[in-house]
Amino acid sequence: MRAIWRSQTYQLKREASIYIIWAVLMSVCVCIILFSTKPWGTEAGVTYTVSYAWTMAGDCQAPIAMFFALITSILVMGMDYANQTINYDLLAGYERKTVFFGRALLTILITVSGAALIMLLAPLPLAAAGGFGDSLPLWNYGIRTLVFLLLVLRITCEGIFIMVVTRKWTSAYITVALLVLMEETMDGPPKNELIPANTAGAALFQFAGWSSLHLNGEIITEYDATLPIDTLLLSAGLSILMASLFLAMAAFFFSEDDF
Amino acid sequence: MITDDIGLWAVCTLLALLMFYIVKTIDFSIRLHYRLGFAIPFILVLWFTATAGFEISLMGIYTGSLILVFCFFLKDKKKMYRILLAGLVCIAITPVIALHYKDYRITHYTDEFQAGFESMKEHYILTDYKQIDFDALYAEYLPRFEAADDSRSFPQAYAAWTDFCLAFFDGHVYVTAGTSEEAIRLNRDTYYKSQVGADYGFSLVTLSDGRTVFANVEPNGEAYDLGIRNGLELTSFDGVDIQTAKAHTKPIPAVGDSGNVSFYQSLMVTASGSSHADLTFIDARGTEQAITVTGTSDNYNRYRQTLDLLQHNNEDTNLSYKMISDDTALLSLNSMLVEGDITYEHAEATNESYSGMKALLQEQLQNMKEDGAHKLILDMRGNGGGYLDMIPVIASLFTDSEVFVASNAAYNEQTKRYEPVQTVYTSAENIWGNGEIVILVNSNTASAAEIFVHTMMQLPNVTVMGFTKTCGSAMMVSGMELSNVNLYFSGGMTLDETGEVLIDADASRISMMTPDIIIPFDEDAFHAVFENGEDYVLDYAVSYLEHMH
Repeated sequence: MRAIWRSQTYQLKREASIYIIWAVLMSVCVCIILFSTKPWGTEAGVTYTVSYAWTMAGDCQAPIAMFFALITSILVMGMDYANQTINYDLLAGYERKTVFFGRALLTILITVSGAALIMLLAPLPLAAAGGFGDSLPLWNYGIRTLVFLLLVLRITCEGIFIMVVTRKWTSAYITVALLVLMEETMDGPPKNELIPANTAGAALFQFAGWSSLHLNGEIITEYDATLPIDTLLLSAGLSILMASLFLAMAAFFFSEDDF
Repeated sequence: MITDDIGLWAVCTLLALLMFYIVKTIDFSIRLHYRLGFAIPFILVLWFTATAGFEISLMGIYTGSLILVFCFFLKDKKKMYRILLAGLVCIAITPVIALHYKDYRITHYTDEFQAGFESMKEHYILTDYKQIDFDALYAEYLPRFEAADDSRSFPQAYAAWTDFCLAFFDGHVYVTAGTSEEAIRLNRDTYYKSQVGADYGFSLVTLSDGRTVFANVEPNGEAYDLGIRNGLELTSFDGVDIQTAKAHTKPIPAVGDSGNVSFYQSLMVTASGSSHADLTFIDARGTEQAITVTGTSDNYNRYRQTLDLLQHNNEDTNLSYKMISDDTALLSLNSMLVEGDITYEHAEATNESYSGMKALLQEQLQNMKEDGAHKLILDMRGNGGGYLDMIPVIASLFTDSEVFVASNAAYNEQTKRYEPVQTVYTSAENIWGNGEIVILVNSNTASAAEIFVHTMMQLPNVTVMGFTKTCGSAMMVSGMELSNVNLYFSGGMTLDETGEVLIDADASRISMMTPDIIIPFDEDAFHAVFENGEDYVLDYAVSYLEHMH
């Protein structure tokens, strides 16, 4: 596996598309945060702080990080299908499990670290405008983000499964697009359930918040920083279960597939 | 929701049955992708739960779909059949379990109430000032939410929420339900329809001398045929003397001042009635009569008509004016939102927008003066408030010195008092000059609007008048989003120039701001409003201004 890992790492370090995707999504995230908070505005003092942006994570950073995980997992896992190098590894005598997990674990590492960087770095430009503020403590955001990264792990494993089954980027992305389209056609707004990945992300960043509009137009929003322990534990458990399931299905499929 | 669940069950069952056929006919070593059929029910469950939500009684479908996934990994077809069968059985028996599960798709209104209650208990800013007993409120209203859970009735839960909010006697404590203005209005109207009782063919209003009289009598209706006419006095309703009947009504539509509540109390008397109500009244000859009237349909339309006549909310275009005499202009200020936008969407609160609104108002004032106006009637009836930072912008156009607007405050742990942290004053631009200004208000003049009125009342050339006081709610509003409703309550303290709570009523339920003139709703006013359809308050203001000089 180490040899597989090294060869994959060598290849991926020089793969510009991953960096470009990350940079584009990171830029989109930063823009959304900035346009939502408008730190350049002249209206009376809405609090443009990093911790305020943390409270927006469920609507901003989290969906973008999940999107990054899904796209990148398919991209990274599918690279060797595209250029057929996967066959060379198999012909070289490596076991299918070794070949699969060598790629899968690296894919997981890339997506989880990329998502973590989006979650942590995207709100930072607001530090120049309003500082860190005190809307939400760092430890609170940190714990929620850690559990969220397990969700990213799950999404990555789902992407790996889709890629292993379809074996082509276009097929994999079309499948993902169809699944998203199916979700959009459902009646009613999404509930913050932990079972589907897209709403589980928002559920992790729910706060009992309230706002007060003060005389000079300043909107002070206070957030209940209590950690929903039940939600976090359930989310973590479900994420690990689903990740294991999809990874196992993908590994089985890969081991039985005809190359 | 039930149909969605049935759909999910049907699809999962059919897929499981299909997989039986596929296992029998397909060689999975060649057709590997057919194994995906085992995973599809599970993926459907993941997708479906996004909007339908998790439901414990559907665990059969969730478990069955998960069991089917295990078939994905098997190579022995016999084992596949067994596990497939186990999964199919789990899925198939789900409807039986769901039908017998009493909490199937139950919405937990009680949990929602508890969440909102806990937040209010911690953050409601006027608890001590109004002497709110939260424990008593909890004991009183929790059973109503439990009843709503039992009957799975959202209207019941919404009514419980609204009545809970009324108990605070604060116009800034309220709930909304719905994701659009239309839905919010629909839910609110449904509540009012359930509260205003049956239509007996008349409304009731209270005159300034204390008498309760008939108003808005349906011509040629049963009540009319029995001798009831506009202006005749009612003495008892449904066996209860009228004063007692009024005392037991809800503080609808006005809350925030006991005088305002009294003004509208009679409107709600008929809510206590049954399908046939016995009543006594003084007829046109002065003789007491006893009759029985029949209640038909709901009273909401008549209630609204009567209320609209009493309140006469200003519905002209915001910041528009017209000359009502050679020297008097009538300016509409029915919203503290930018450019008359009376939706509740958060307008862009930028200096540019304020400049635009301010420029428009300056222009209007200049035009009025050019048209010969040196007296102004500012109609703020129905102005429900909006952005507080509009107050100094508007008021500055009428003041030639810095006038106190309000202070927002923070709690000082040492002095155990709320103390000002920011105080706002008008600037001194006085475009209008020193001409007389009359401001018209009613019980719907609320929030930022009544803080504006409070500011203007400090000017020597301003007189405020109306049938009632303003709403009586000047605190900063906080809100929280719950599962089915949005709950709003006073969450930020506003103080007057003496450091006391601004405007809001304390435990006495008397708001702290009284208009200069409370126009008596006497017989003249009654006849003008209900017989002639006149705007009596406006006419009173015009007459007042004419007598000024």
